[in-house]
Amino acid sequence: MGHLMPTDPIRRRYRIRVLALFGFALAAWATGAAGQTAATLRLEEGRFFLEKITVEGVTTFSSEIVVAESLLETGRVYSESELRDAVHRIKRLPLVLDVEFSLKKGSERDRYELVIRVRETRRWFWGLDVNLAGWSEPVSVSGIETTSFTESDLFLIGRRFAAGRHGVAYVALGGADGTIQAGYTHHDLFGRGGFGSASLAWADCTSDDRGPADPSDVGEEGCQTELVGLGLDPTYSNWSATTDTVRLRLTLGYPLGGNQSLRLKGSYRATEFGLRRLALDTDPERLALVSDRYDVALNLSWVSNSVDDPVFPTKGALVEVGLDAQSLEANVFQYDISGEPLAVAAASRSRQLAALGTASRHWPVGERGAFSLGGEALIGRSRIRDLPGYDLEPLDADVTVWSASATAGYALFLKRLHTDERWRELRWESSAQLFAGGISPSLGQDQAPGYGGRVMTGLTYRNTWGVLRFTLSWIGLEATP
Amino acid sequence: MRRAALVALTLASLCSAAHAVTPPRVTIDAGQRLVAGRLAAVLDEQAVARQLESGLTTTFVFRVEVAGRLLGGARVDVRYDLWDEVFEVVAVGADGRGERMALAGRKALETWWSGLELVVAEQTSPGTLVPRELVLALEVIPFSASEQDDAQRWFVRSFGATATSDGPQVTDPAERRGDPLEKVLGVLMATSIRGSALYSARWAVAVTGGR
Repeated sequence: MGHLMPTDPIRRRYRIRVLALFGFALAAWATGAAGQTAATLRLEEGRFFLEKITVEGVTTFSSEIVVAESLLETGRVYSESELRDAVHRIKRLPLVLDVEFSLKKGSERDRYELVIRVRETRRWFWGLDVNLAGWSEPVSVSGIETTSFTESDLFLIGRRFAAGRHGVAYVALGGADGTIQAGYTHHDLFGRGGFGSASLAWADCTSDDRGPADPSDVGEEGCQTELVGLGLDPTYSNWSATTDTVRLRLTLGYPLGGNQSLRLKGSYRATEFGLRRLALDTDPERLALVSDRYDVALNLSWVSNSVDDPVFPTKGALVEVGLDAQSLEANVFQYDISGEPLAVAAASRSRQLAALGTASRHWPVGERGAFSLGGEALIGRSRIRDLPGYDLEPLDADVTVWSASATAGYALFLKRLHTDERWRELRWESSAQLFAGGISPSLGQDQAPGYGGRVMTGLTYRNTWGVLRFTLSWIGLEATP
Repeated sequence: MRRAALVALTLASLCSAAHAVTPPRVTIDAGQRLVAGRLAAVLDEQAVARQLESGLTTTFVFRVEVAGRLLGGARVDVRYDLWDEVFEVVAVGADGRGERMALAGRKALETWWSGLELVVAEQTSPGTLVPRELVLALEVIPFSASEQDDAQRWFVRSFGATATSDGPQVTDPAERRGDPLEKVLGVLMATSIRGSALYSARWAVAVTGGR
């Protein structure tokens, strides 16, 4: 009898009153309401035969891209739910800020013309992402110093160009991939609503005039600094570039119907010289100079995406399940800070094949809020050859790699102005994440954190030009006992 | 001429302000129910008017709150039939009773809306205190209400998952009506999750009559 007693008169009265709140079907059956049944208490979902689709508001690219992305065809009947999903698909285009659907009478009774009214982004676009992070452990993510406070900023400015009936090209300066980048996306690939996208980025990461191959350059910051997964480098290290680097990305998407699609992503990056730093090590002797580095990644995923907005999601779900293959090849030269060689490991190679799944779901809460839950899991096998470990001895092993994370977030619109003249949004976003990961066997790389957490809060602003994001994070890391 | 223009502008501003701030009316009827009427002229709002004429469903969700606590609500679904040139309307009050009708044109819809009396909360016990003031909130949601129902069902199911020795099992709330916590949780979730609104407003309203 430790649970709630259904015979308690006070609780019972309260329950009955609450259950009578709405005309939702749930309330109807729960209260046993007299009168009409739940099935008649709502408008039946509308179904419409579309004989024509018209796009309005498009000036900077072809309207056929919008029709292709909607996956709607003339001569077919669609429900309102299917039209709603089409709205979300169009809104996920980077060219589009907002979409409205409306119907017009068709040529005869019960036939309709669908009018898609689009609010475009501008031809010129920009983005700024600033993150200030505090760490529970001193980390090295740029330069030779370890610090408990890091700052990163990413600025991007570019311009889009219409390229034929189904194409959009762009050029941009800045961003994560390089100093200059250019790309092209072809929509309605194979005439079935698919798309293909390619981009090429070049980055000049040379930071002084002493020559990039000089071992004493290991103290320079470089660019494109990123933590490499434990399956490719079990030492929990940051890798960066200190000279030119070139990156090619290819993406193919093929719709499977509704919100589902298959997606193939490939990435290739070549870097002449760079650095490798143990992220949690305060000993500068374990800095390494890297040459002839090649990163290759290939990912094939089944994707189900019903998220209403790519930047400010408030409802819908995104699920991705697939196979992920990565490889990292480089010559890793271990020096101390004075330039004396400690160890040389030529031609290190790491390869990883893993199953990867991610999922997130968003709910609108209140008039301006949204609640999100998400998670990610990866498990796979990795082959590591001739990569210097924490003790500078080359690692040569096959390991099982795994990682998992769970995230909960809440976001609140502080400003949302949508008029014909002005379009801007400001949102406060916060999230908490728990993550864990590791390799088995551990190879004695005690530096790798076994689990950790991250809390984040920040503001994101969006208008017709682009997105500005400013976030504060705190990251806690713990090594596996 | 300038004075006339100034007077006209002032009058227009006053009329506009009066129109904007006129709150809905909430009264207590003979059955001790809270009834909302004199609903604001939201049909003229640009985004709402456009959606109403789109031929797709527009949903008006009313919520009644007292001291931040949800007390009740009601819903109105409207869809314009382009071929019959009528607005199909379903209005559902907090008592679970619905009203379905077809209104011939915009004028008829506005007339019906201005005279609409919606039961937004029920008094289940004669001894229950009637609030003197409450907040009436309105959200106008595009597309079918089934969109929000999807989210509600998923959320309620998520919370309805019960752990057993065979692992978690998902149970439809309808099959668990004997669980009091489930009932309360389900309804609270169902009334707190909504779609992205085209328009939203909140009014502080004094409750009249019935005392």
